[in-house]
Amino acid sequence: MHIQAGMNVLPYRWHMLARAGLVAGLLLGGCGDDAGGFGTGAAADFGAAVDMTSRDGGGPPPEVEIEVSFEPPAVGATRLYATNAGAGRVAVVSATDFTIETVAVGAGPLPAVAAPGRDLAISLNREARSLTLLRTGESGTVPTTVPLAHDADQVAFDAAGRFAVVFEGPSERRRNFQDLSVIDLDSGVATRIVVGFGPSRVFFGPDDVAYVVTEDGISILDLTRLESDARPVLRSFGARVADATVTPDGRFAIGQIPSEGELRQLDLMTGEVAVADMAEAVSDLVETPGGGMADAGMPPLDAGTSGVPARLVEVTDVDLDPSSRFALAVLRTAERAVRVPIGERFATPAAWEVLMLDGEGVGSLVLSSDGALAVGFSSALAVEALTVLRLDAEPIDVRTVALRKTVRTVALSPDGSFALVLHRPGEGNAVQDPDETRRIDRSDGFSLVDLATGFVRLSLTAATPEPSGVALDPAGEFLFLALRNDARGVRSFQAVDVATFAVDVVELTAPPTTVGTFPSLDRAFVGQEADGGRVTFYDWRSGERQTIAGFELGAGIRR
Amino acid sequence: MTRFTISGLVLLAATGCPGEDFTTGEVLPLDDAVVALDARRGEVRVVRLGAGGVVDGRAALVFDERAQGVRVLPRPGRTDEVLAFHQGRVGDADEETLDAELVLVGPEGERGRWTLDGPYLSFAPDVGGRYVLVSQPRGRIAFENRVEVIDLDAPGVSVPLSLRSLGGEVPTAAAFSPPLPSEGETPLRVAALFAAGQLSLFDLDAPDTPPATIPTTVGGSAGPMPIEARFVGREVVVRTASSSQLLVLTLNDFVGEGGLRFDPSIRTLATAGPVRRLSVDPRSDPPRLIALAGTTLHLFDLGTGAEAQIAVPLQHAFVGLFDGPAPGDPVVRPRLVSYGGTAQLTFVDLGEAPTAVRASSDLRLQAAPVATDLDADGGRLVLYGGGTGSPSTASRSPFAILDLFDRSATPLGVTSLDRAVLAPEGRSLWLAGTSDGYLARLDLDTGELEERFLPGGERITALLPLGGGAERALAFTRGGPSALGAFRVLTPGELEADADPPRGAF
Repeated sequence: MHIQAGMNVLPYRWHMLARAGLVAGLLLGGCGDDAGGFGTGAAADFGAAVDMTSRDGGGPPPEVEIEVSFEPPAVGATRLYATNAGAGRVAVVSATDFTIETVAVGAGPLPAVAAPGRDLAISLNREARSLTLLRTGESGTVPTTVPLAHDADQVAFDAAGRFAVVFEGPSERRRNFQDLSVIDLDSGVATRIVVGFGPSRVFFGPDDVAYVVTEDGISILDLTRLESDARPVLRSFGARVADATVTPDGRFAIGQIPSEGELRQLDLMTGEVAVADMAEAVSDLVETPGGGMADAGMPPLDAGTSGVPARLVEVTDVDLDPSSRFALAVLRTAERAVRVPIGERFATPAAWEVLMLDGEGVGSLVLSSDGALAVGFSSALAVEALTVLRLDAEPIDVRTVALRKTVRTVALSPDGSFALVLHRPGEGNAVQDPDETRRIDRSDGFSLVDLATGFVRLSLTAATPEPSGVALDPAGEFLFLALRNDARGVRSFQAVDVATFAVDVVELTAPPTTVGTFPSLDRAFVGQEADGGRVTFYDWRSGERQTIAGFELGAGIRR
Repeated sequence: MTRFTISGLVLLAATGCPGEDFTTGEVLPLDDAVVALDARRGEVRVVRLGAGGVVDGRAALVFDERAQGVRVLPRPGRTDEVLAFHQGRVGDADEETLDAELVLVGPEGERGRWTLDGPYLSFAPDVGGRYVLVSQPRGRIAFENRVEVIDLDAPGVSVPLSLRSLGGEVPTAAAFSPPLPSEGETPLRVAALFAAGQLSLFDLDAPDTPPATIPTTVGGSAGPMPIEARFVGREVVVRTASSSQLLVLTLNDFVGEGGLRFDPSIRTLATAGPVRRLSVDPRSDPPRLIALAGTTLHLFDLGTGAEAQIAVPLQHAFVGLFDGPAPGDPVVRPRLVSYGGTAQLTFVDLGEAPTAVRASSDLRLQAAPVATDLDADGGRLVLYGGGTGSPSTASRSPFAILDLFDRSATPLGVTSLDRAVLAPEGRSLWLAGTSDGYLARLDLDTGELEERFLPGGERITALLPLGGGAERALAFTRGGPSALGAFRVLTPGELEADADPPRGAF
């Protein structure tokens, strides 16, 4: 299950690429993959990434978008909500005094999702077709069960914590394609709404408006004036787009048609659609007879309908400026990024800014939270480098930072001071290889990159660091990574001092399943797979640890 | 409820003759007395020992002739009492059922008797020595699922526990709390009954109140069997057969009316594997919990759940606690030694906090002991080779004395010994050769050895320490003048005297 929320909702959530949405829930049954690794979906996506054959049988493989989420869904302000799916209960663990209470919810609960910054969580009880609101106060947790008229497996909270939207997201088992419910978190009232086909994400704009991304377009919900007897407004892109995103100000939605080299801007007020044809950004390459593409060693290009080879204009990534000023599109084959202003000049090529990204195979970008900095990399090509773009410089400053391993994904710290690079291991036995370079290539690991100086700290790990196993304290001083590999017996927790990039390893007794922080308590936690439940809290100031476990057994006491 | 009787004790004249047909089986020592069992006859005899080891008096305990399964066991924590039990018997069509009985036996003979509500197959005293659990009543067709708890401090009183809330599980063992402070008029006494995948906590003073039953796992499948529970204040630490975690139950005060006087909550302490040995170290506050699991020695702070780990060999099965100096550290501190099954011992120097570890070090011997005796006060560990089993009857020879303070081993040049026991006071190591009648005592303080051979080809079949603070031991022999065997009381300093130690018979 994902948290679906707008980028303005989660201040400490390091957004990178938004498609994969990986979250390791604190499901007591564990969430390891077949190899006992940390997380699940990421491993599947990663498998696609290392397959160096493209979908059409030629050319480089596609970029794989993996989100690094630093806020596990089960973390409230001071409580951890740990779901025991088999028993139909949620353990509410206090990170303040480590007391535990166990609350019964409906049958077949999915991992509870907490409202960011509040001690309030929602348990979606899939078998019972209901949800349970868990409100925790000084006197304990009060559960309120709300029937649902449809299946749901996703929860999105608005930033103010007044509303939640529950729906069924894309999956192989999806049965509900268009119904969702808006939950008034104060009254517990659920209002069923029918939206466009196949909702996948929910964004919240100002003025209590929710934007639901569907295959048909964007359904717009005025949360303060919900009408159960009327359909909400649906705005269409005029074509099916991928990775639709709503700007934080709620004015526009941006989508892309990668194969057509198009970005589309949907005005959510008027429904007007503007098209940015990326062919305009590479016209110089096409117009030059015998131009540089062949020289660059690229495979033959098939011309599209615009006369520009389709692969040349293929958009491999799009990111939105958090301030809604521009969209940044990456054309990997053309080795360019295009900064397209959002608004009236969206479809005006003369207003675009084309950035040359020669030589490093950049196919993906991550933007800093202020939009002033972008880091480019490739999750598909065997490139051991990052490309750092200072977008606020005039002219834009583009630098390359060399790494020692290939890149799986990258996340930026909220202040843009450093980047976390999760690497992927090469094939072969790393331990027994006497050659240091090969040993590094074959190992798991991550790098921390000081974006101001280019200083790189490489840390090899005994297990693959998963995007869902990373947390950052709100002040950006400590980074936490959970490592798990059951086959190798790896079960540890790493605390990284961001000031020095020093790494401390804390061995765990049980395999970690999730990691997160309690911003107000200076504590990180790591949930572990153990019969009865197990959570270790880590005080990042003192280094003290406190483990509580067995709390699920308490619910089974017969009196 | 049981019927308390004082019957069945037959006092023999202090100078009377032992029964001619008494076949000595189990022999148990008491302070200044020894108890022997003839299981075939269902008879228990007590011989009091006077100065110089001479027989000072006798008593006999005779059960009903239909009694079956007569056994004797030491009473844990007491050196002056043993427990004798018979299972009773299910009556046939024309005879009455014989109830099981438990008798507390002291040097003077019977001290108390508990007649139970029917036959029971097994009895088990708890480690604290106050309670005895009798279980598995015998039935004609099927076993009834009943247990009774006998309070040895309450003559004649046993408490049948209501097992209806155990979900059909059969309790297999139990642990009991010391009296705990309670808001009620009487201190809280809790019994923990073990059954497959669960344990149940009873208020011993409200036996009809359904217990609190705690599962040892979550989910549908049966959890691991609890096999040990240690009460530490109001917390109960439970070791299970196969789980890689300890359960910690906290007996909170119950708020409300009716029901139990406590409200248990549970947490767990993860370990590196199933726990082989569990110890509670009271030298820290809160007590330090020590668990051997896998290749790890865990030190837990029961209050906070904090933990320290020390790597130890997989074979280690014992933990010895002692206070003393160490090489390079003359300060007397709390320390421990982990050992067993391998030639490597691991010493851990502890701090004040439960998880504080000042240092740890390994010591490798030339051979792996198969048995050990720890003298914590004396700072000694006696290492044995040879067989395993009951120290009084197992064939074993000491091969080294380990000084825990300077961590050095003194090898012993003794071979071909079959019996060796350490006196409770820790100073005398008694040795015997079973086939040649060899007896010896090694003074562990001075290193002096005294020895003699018994005359007449007597075979020593048991060697056991006697209580009473005199470092004495008792050797039981066969093949001598007495066809039914005889015993000798061995006293330090008198083994090499001209006269043979006085001989007695049951």
